[in-house]
Amino acid sequence: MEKFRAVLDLHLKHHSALGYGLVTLLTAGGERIFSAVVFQCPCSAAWNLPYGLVFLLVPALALFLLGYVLSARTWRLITGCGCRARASCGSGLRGSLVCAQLSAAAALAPLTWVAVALLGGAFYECAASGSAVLAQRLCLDRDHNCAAELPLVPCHEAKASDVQDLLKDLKAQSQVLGWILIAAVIIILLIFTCVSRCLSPVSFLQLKFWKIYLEQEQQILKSKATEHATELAKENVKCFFEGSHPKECNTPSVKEWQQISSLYTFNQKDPYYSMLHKYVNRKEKTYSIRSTEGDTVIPVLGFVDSSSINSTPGLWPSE
Amino acid sequence: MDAFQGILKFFLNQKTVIGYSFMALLTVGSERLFSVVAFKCPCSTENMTYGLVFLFAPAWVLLILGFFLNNRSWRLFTGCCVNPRKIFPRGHSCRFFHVLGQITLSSLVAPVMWLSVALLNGTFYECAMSGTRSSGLLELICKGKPKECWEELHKVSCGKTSMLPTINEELKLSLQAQSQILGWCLICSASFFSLLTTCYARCRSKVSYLQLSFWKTYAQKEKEQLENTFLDYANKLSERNLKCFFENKRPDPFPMPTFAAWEAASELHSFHQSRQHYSTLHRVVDNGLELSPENDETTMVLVGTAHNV
Repeated sequence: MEKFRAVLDLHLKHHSALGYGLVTLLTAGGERIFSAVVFQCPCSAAWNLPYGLVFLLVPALALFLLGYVLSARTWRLITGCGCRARASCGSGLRGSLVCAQLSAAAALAPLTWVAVALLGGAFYECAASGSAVLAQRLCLDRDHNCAAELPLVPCHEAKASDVQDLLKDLKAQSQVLGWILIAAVIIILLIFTCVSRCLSPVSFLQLKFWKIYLEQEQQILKSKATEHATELAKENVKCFFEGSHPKECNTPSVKEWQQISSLYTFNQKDPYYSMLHKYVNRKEKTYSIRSTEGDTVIPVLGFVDSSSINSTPGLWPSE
Repeated sequence: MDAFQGILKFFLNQKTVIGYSFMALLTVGSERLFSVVAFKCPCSTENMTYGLVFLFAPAWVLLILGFFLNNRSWRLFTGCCVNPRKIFPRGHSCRFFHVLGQITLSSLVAPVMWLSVALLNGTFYECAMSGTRSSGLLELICKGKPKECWEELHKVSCGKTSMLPTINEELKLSLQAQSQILGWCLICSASFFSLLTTCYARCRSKVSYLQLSFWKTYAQKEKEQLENTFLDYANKLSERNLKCFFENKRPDPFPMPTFAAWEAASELHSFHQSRQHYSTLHRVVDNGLELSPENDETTMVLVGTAHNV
């Protein structure tokens, strides 16, 4: 039991690292299956390039959109945007900062897909053999038939052996590109994380406590919401069947739910750990916490908006 | 059952050793995977680029991952732009670079392991060297071989040169031998270097051996206590907030550390001989909210236990 707890602690501590690792493994597995089962290069001059590019880029786009869908922050940003006043959607700068962070987090899976697909080589081989520009460069010192036979290379159907050897070149180019992409993505990720941590107005230990607080708040919110909902539902159904009037139930109003659902903003003067915390500690009963002077969106505090009642604490890493 | 408990206890005590062995195993496994699944020498003029990318890109990725997973780097960087005085205190500007150096050294372990295993394997180096166009290296490799060696060395890995198969095989074996020699040299020098740095750090330690063991135990226990207390307080605070939200009541006051207290507790620890504080938290609690005492002595000793909190 203790060993299991140790594994669980490891999971909580290196939460995002494990999340990213899982995403990478899943994408790698998916790419292997795709290229082995589904992908068959048409080996024609007209179709190679579009076919290869579609297989390379369309799943990436799908994963990108899926990244948006699975992030709770997207829904917090969008829900109710049309009905409420424009100002509550977040003023231009704030909204765009949040959007930028969401896009960066959603871009991770597609980049992993593209990198793994390039390392595999099949998609790039097919696409490059159909590209006229690349054919010119590769066929420089070879047969005059090289350019015509190049599209047949992925299917091993080129007659000249030195043209067929170009397949190895293409695979090598693909793998080098894949590694360069991985190296570039990881250093950019490190730089962005360092910069956002550098600009954090909150210290290291407090951030750590903050993350733990949010997880606890999420769990307790879920259980309290379930409890409250059960009570309310029981009362309503009972009264319906008995034809009686329900007793006064102290349930939070629409406005209150709206207040705690807005995007989190940090204020140096009153550092609260979530919109709920801010709302509960507001000065007067009717005071709105929507936006006060000094409220800013801090990049490193993006994880605050990821909490919700229904989703599990982030299979999708959003820090 | 007792023997099993004993064995388990022994393993749990050797956490660092097990951690590093696990890392080594993982590196060997992934290197095998790479070799079998992905790596195929193109046998063209692009050999050198291909081989070098396969050797150094995973090492780079492992280095960056090492930075990411090291808690000390985040302790160092969090809030540094907002308050630069925190990491460049007056008179101790080198402290930042000192700590950064320590973090880099611990992150270098995995890449060096990868490089040694990859060199011992031989395929990556063989491919890279066979694509060399430098006349000096070519002369070294093709010494005493037919003149085709100079032009066709890049086809050696695939066995497609116009030379005799025996000469082809000889060239391949000599390149692999060079690779393995380099690999062993790397392992030897890396282990010697790490022994030297550990000895130097221990030599310069102002803390005695037994006190150091106690320190490590204290750091571990404090980390556990801190996590438990965080969980406890987070639980109580969120219970209070949610209760007030759902019942529409005013919240009771909940005592929490101030901003300044959090800042003070998050600093990197430095040992001071006269005061004997075992952690930043210890110092903060003893002194009140004093930030950075006057005469710091940054300790190099905890290189191995860099993964605190």
